[in-house]
Amino acid sequence: MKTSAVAEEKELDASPILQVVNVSHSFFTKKGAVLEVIRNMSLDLYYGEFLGVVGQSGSGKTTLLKIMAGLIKPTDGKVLYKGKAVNGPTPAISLVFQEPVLFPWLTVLENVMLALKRVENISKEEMKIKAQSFLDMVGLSGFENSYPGELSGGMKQRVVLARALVTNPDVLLMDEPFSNLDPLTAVSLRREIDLLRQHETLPPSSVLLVSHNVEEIVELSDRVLVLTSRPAQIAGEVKIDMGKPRDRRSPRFYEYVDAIFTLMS
Amino acid sequence: MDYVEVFLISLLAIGASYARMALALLFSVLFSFAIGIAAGTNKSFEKVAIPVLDILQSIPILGFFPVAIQLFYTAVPVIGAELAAIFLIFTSQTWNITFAVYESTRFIRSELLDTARFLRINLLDRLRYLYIPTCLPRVVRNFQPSWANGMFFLVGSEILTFGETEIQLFGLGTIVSRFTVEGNVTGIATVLMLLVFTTVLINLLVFIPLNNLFEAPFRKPSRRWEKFGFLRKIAKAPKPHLPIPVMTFFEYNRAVGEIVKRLTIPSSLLRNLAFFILAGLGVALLATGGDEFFERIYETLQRLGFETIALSSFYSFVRVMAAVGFSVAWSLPAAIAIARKPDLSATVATVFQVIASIPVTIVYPLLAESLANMPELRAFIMIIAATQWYVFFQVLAGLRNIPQVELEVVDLLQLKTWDRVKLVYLPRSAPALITGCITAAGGAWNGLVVAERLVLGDVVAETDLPGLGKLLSQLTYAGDLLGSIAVIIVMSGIIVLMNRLFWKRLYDTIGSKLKIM
Ligand SMILES: Nc1ncnc2c1ncn2[C@@H]1O[C@H](COP(=O)(O)OP(=O)(O)O)[C@@H](O)[C@H]1O
Ligand SMILES: [Mg+2]
Repeated sequence: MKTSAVAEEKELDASPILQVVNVSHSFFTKKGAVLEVIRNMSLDLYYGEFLGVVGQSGSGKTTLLKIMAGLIKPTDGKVLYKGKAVNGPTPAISLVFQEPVLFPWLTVLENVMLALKRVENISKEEMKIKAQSFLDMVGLSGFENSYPGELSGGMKQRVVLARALVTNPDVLLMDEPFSNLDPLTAVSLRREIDLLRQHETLPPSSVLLVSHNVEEIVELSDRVLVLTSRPAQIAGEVKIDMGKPRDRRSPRFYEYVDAIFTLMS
Repeated sequence: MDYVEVFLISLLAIGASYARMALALLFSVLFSFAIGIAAGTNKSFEKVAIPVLDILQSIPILGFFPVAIQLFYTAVPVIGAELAAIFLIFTSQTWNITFAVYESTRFIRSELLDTARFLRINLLDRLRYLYIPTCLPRVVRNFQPSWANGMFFLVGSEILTFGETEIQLFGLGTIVSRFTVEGNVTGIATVLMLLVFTTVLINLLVFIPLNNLFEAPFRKPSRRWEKFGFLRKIAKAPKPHLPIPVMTFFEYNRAVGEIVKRLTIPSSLLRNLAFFILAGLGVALLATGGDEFFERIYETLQRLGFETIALSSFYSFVRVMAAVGFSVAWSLPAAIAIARKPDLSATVATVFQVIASIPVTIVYPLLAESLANMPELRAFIMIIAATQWYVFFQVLAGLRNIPQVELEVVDLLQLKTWDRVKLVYLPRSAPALITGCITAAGGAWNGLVVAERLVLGDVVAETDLPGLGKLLSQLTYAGDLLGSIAVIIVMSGIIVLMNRLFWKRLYDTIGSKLKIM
């Protein structure tokens, strides 16, 4: 079973797992004014890739991710997962918000277990074991019975990551997950996400990271899409051909950063 | 009397009552600005005023009734009765507004205050440009609940019976009682119809537009709700506003708690001063026959019989708790069902807001007939009317204040309805729910005075089983001032004890359990 799935993945390597097709989105604001946030955007997220999307604050990145996760219905266009339309949230697509949203009255373990409630035919015991194993994976062993209020920002973001991964999603969408962390915590969490990616058997197959921080995007992505300012459209694409871990001070790294800045302005 | 005459008299009566209500509301606002801003800006005054207001707002309003009449009537015989009525309505409208002003003033950013001080802006300009604009949105949001509350007690305030003295002020209350006594069903129906009509008008033309003035609408109505657009059009604004008393018990309790904390600082000169003044007053009272007063209260309690008091308290307590329980039982599911549909909840809130401001005391004569054999049910309906809206609106407000990101997570994780309710909606709305229960219980205790024994002219509708409200009403109408005061003391005691020993503890327990304190 497992081997055939891997074989299939290899075979489909060049085909998209998640597609955004001609998506436009507008918000209706005070006094009926229309705020156009995304204009006729199309992008493909391929199997096994780490895609970075970079754009200025307010350009519509969060909105794009919410549309891709099925949380918001776009005004126009559609999102396809493995060729089928996404009409609402699904365990196959996980989203990590900019701020870690945890429920303060539930323990860390219970917060992670929340994601498993939708899974059918799973006992409470299995849920616990599964949630615990993902907490171990993100380095939170021993904190399962703590409450979110007792954790630091970095630890909370790890809990959210465990909750996002516990359903074995094929696609992980991340919305500036490092922006609220202090620089050192951010470095270690980035390292960790890189390590998780290298884990062969572990989901997710594909990651989409959204950020306004160009360095962070260059450090992690295989390919980068640059967005225009609002309404968001794709201004250009940069493929990053560099081994990991990437040295932020290398000239090569800077070339990529410069290339992206040029596209942004 | 032909029909035109009935119609005109009813219209005039409603006009007279509304004039009283409006005057009382005006006084409430003036009082609130004076006391609220003073308490919010002056630390010494705050320490005295807030605990006093806390007690005043939990005392049953109609308890002021005999004292107020005697005071006003003996002071200024002619307009005294009018003043007494307006005062009674005022006491049912003012506290929430005062606390709104106080809270708003307290949370003005200190940079702003510093700037004002730096620029040496005088008090009048500070009021005009800083305090009043800051408080106005919350004050305006409290108009509607205050109005509704005043309406409930309007009937009681217009017929001032005390012992031998009986003054009937021309208005809604008197006209209804007259029609009831005459058995004039057409008359009652006419008054009711006019009342409903004017209530709807006032809400749609005054309160809702006023609220909207201070709150910018933010979303496009969904297509499904566009067919109800007429409601919005009448209200001349895109989105009706939730009539929610904004301060939760949480905030309020914290405010009071902070002051009490500050009071315990031993160096607090003021506390000592207050203590000495109080002690001095006590001594003076004792020396000049105050002991006689307390002795007489004790004697009065003895005369009424401790057993009667205990039994009355028990039955009243059960009625109040049953009313609160009933309110929670329907409010929770109803609010949960509509909270995440903004257009629906705005519409429902508007409709309920209108229904809530139709005083059940006036609808009552219509019920009285069919419920003649069920006095408990009759009383229960009246208590419910004074109770349920607080719970519903608070819970709805609590649910509507759940952070958007949490709702998105709930959606993203595809939680099933029961899990959503149990794991997110209930915990998040718990503080608001308890706040609602406390306010509702307060309203129910106040309502008891009318619910357990309603007097409309010569028509008396009372419960068979005893109750504190019934007892208070009987003593008041019999002119037994001491008896009334004794019962008020007992009732206020129960309310204060319940707040301190039960509700506050429940609140703290739940707060710490949910890790939200
Ligand atoms: N629910 C909403 N209603 C109205 N406007 C919104 C809403 N959500 C976002 N916006 C607006 O859409 C624009 C893009 O927002 P967002 O997608 O959060 O940008 P980013 O994540 O790139 O900073 C912003 O101007 C924001 O104010
Ligand atoms: Mg964003």
